[in-house]
Amino acid sequence: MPQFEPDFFSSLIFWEVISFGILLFVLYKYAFPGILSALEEREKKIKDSLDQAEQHRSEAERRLKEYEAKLNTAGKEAEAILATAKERAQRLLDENEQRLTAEAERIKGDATRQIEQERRKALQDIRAQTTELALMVAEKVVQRSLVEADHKKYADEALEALSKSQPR
Amino acid sequence: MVLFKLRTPSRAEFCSRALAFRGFGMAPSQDPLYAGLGQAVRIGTELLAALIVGGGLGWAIDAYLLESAPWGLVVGLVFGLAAGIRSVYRSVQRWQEAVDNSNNRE
Amino acid sequence: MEESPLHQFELQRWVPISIGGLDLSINKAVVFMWVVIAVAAVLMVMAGSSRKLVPGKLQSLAEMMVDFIRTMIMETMGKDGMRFFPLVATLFVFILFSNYIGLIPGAYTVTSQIIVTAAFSFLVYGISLVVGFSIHGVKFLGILIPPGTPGWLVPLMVPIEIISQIARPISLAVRLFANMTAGHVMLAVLFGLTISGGLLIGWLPFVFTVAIYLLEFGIAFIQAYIFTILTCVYLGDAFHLHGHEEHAH
Repeated sequence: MPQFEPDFFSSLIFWEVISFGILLFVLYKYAFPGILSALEEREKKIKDSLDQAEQHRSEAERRLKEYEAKLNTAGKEAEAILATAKERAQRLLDENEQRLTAEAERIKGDATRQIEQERRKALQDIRAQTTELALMVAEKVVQRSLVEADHKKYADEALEALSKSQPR
Repeated sequence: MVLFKLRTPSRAEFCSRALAFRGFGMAPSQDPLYAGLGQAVRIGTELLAALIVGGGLGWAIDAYLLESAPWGLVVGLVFGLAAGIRSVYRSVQRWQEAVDNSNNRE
Repeated sequence: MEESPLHQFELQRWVPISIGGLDLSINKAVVFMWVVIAVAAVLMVMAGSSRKLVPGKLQSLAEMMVDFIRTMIMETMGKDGMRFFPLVATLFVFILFSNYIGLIPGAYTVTSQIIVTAAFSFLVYGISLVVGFSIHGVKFLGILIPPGTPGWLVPLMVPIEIISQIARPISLAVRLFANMTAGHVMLAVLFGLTISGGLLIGWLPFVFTVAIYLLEFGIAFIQAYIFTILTCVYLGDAFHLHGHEEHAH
């Protein structure tokens, strides 16, 4: 095999070392940094956009939850408002009824009292007129004028006796 | 091949796939075709090289140190065989680890 | 048959150079080393200087390659290993381009020279030893005693481990050389048969020639890959010293 003949070993090793050294230098200096950084940049970009997507998703989820919570509280609030409104209406109704009843009571009472008063007054009037009438009759009967006071006294006595004997 | 399944991947799947594509996940070295061929070629040479080195060392001891021919060569070949088998065992083990790792990652 | 299938590996001194009795002549293999590094440097530098977010074909190929090597290093050595990235990546690029340029008919496959592959493998192995001793000191000799070896086995294990350590660079060099040589020998034989077979039966070896040629494209990559991953593994062993054997990274 020609490869095992050592005639060319020295030149092959020498030129291999030189060539490899040059290639290593050139790639190290001019190729690898650019390729590596482009690679890293792209990886970073992909990772960033994945992160961002994740962030957006969690943000959306958070918003949804918030919205749902809000909806929930709003429903509860509406219920509460309705309940208080109902209660108030009921209370108002009750109050009105009570007041009206009381008012009616009061009016009835007033009317009764007035009637009683009128009746008494009418009775008094009748008594007074009856007294005068009796006096006139007595004067006419006696034909003689007594001292007014005496007359009245007799008359009152007579009337007293009359009202006692006569039940109302 | 996962790539040809016609269904929408889940988000996690998509991410891991995107990462794998960029070399974060499954390494090219674990690509079954290349790894398999590579291993097959590797193991034969390793066994042979160890045998040659063992035999060569034994022969050198025979010829230059102890003049004990042929025992140096025989013992050297036995040791060489043992070394070869150990290397093969080691590379298979390493390969197995790599395969396990990639399976665990998926 | 007109010529030996090994004829393609023979070299002539094209430009004889001798310095201090050392022969540094320029021959076909040397010229193709230059071709390899020129093509590799031009393509890689071009790929490295066009920094678009959505890359072109060249840039994405180069990026795939770089990513590939980076992943290799990360898996075998971890983040600290990235300081060997330039060495490992250049090695991969050199071998890959050598293998592919060698597939062009009439070109010379630099990696079919045992001395070339051996120089690379001993360079790599030497670096791994330097790294091992500079990190772990004398303890690095412990690499000869696998963890969990019972005491009475040590005298047996040490020679075995010495042999397998020496076998490392040798197998690394031989594998690449043998694969490249075998492929080209096979192609030469088949192509010779095609020529000598003539139109009547020549088509059969020709079909095989094409098939093997296509296969060699795969081999060219796989061999560059194996050389590089083993480089990483050896460097990683020097880095971690037993860390790898008992449990995964």
